Amino acid sequence: MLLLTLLVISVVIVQQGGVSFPNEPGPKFDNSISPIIPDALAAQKSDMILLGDSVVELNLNPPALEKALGLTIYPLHFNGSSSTLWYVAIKNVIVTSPSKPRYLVIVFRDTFLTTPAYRAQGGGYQDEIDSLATQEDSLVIQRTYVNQMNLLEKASESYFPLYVYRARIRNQIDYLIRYPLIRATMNCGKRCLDIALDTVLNGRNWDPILLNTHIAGVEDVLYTRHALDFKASVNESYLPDIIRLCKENDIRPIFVHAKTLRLYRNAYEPVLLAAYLRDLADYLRANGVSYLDIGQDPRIKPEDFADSLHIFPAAIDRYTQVLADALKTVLP
Amino acid sequence: MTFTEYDFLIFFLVFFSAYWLIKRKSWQNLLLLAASYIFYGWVHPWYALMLGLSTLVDYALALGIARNRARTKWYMALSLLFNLGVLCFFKYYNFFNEGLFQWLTSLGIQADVFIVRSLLPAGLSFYTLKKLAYMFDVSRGTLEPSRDLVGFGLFAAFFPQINAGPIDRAQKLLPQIQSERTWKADYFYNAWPLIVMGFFKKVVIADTIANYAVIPIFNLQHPTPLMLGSAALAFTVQILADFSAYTDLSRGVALLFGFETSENFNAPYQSLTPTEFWNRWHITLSTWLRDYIFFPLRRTLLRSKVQLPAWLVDALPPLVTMLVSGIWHGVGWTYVLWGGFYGVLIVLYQALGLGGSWKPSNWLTRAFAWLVMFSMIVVSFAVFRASSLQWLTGILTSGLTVGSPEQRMAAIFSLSIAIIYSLPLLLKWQMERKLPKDSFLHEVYFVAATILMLIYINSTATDFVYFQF
Repeated sequence: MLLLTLLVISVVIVQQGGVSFPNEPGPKFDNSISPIIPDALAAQKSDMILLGDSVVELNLNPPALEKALGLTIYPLHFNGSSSTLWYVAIKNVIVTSPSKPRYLVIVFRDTFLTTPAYRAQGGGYQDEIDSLATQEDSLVIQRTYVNQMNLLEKASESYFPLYVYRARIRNQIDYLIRYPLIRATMNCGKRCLDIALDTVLNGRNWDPILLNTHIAGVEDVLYTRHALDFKASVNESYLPDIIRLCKENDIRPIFVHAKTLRLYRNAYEPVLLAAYLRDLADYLRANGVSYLDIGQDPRIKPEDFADSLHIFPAAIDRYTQVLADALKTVLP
Repeated sequence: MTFTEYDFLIFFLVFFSAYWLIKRKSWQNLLLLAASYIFYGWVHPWYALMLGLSTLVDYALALGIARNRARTKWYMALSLLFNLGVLCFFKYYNFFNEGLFQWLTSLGIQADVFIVRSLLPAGLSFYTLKKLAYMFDVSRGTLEPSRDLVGFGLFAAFFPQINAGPIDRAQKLLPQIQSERTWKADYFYNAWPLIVMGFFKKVVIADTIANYAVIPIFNLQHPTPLMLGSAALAFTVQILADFSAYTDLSRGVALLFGFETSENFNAPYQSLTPTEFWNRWHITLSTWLRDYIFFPLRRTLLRSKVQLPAWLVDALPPLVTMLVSGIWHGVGWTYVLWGGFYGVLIVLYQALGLGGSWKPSNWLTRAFAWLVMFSMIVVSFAVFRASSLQWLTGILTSGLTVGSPEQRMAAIFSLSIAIIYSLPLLLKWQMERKLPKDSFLHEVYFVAATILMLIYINSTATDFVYFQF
């Protein structure tokens, strides 16, 4: 009965989905690129792009940085992003822009640059990557998705329609479970509930210790022994491609290791991380790329942090000054 | 390694095939012992080393008892000292360590030179109780000590049970370890529903409720009492789904190797009294506490040379037993309060004449008793899941009730998630009660559960809740 049901579901999915099987593992990106960022880049014609995740948004003050450096800056921050999204942003938006920046400052945390699968799996992350990726981004499909799959997942992606469509089906189930009851009882639709949940349950309202523990747990993938082995992971990452793309387009990349307060969960982490950062610095130096490490700067103190990643508003200008001072050492 | 990891699938296929290809019992046991140590030491090999050492200690001490009965108390004391010492060190070290850290820092001493965090080995609490039960039974003379080191090692390390039980007794497992096992198709037919239900409850129900309705509220600094109530109800569903999922998977995997292991849950949320709840919830732990703490303590009090008041003899054993249960679950005042709460509840119910054998006279009494008991269960899990007592009292004394419209919506959202995701469990329970065992509808349920499991499964399933204990 189970096999029969699965067979029927598979036939229905194949017929309705219009996809042939065996299927190529990995997501199918559409060809459209969201015009918001390309338009903004073209309009602003900035000297420098500041690329990163929420650390760029919440820890830095771009106007103050502009003033300190005497350059125009476009802050390109994607909350909850990491190297895959940065790579597609560089490849499909920044280097194709009619007004390319002179400098690309990438603010990263610890092993971000060599962990392509982090923050790439699942609905929200994948949709954001898709908004900047095209069908030609086979490297992304391979490195971020297919390389992370085990044999069983690859086989399921190829030959098992229900598995391929599970995210879509789950989203539909999720929608049905999330919204109707609230709509019926409180006259509040999807947007209204999403805003309410974001307002109330946002990490900003969490207990700081629990939030840090949660972040540390989620980010364990950045601190596995493999992730902390730079030499073993660099060729699986987008770092060589980011450097190549920048060089080919006369953009000077500058990599900045940001200061955060990681709650170490394994004794080996700080030791291996120090070795990782040494190897990263050597690699970037060998490729003629600037590397700045503000991770140990004493001017940013532990008490400046609201959680392990983000600082209190009162410390933003100091964090910005630390970055400005570091950038001045490598800018002409 | 956990049952929901891809690594486990490979591990299982390799050892399952080899196990049934080998016909000799002694080789099967040796293979299963090796598999158990690989499973347990997969991430941290020193876990396996520690398990091996502690197994050797209890094996030797039990044989020592058999050889020299006059020294039983000494051997037993050594075993208790060793097992509880190791358990307490790993379980409570970090708690006292933090206090020590603060104290040393306040004295101006660079404390991090002296302080090293210790990692609680998953399953330590479970296999310690398993071995202690064995030692108690040997010391009482109700069990002959095993002379088969491989068999005893397998009893202690049996991989389907090592991380979170069930805490099976030697009387149940050792005879199975010592008997011949040949493959039967029934193993598969009986294991399959358990494995499907285990994955379904873990991946579809427990993890979804945890991510949407429990973690975001219990991690807030200042939730409203209404939000706390909703999240506590959600956690009540989550913890049953999560822990019973682990038990189902454990029993299913054990069955595939030809072992029958104990059930841990028997519809606990149907209970009408706290005594009934503990007879239905985490059954192997409850029976352990009953046999090795409650009964001995009660016997000691009854035989005491000093005449004790009857109420004290009745009240002390449940109070102490439940406090031990709380402390066993973890360090912190929330666990102490949780255990103490059940102790007091049992004493109160007994004082009101609503002890273990109480039955309601009509459906209205039954419904009322169920509502009261279920509310107590939800309240107890709010305490159990809370990050601290200060957090809990802060919410209850905040003066808020329902909060802003957004907070109200978050509470109703959490409640709706808890209710909707508990429906499959309620349906299953009703089906088991009302339908014949061979009903076609059971099969329909398993097909639907399998399909939902395939839709919800991902490669990053969270650990089972009870691993932390």
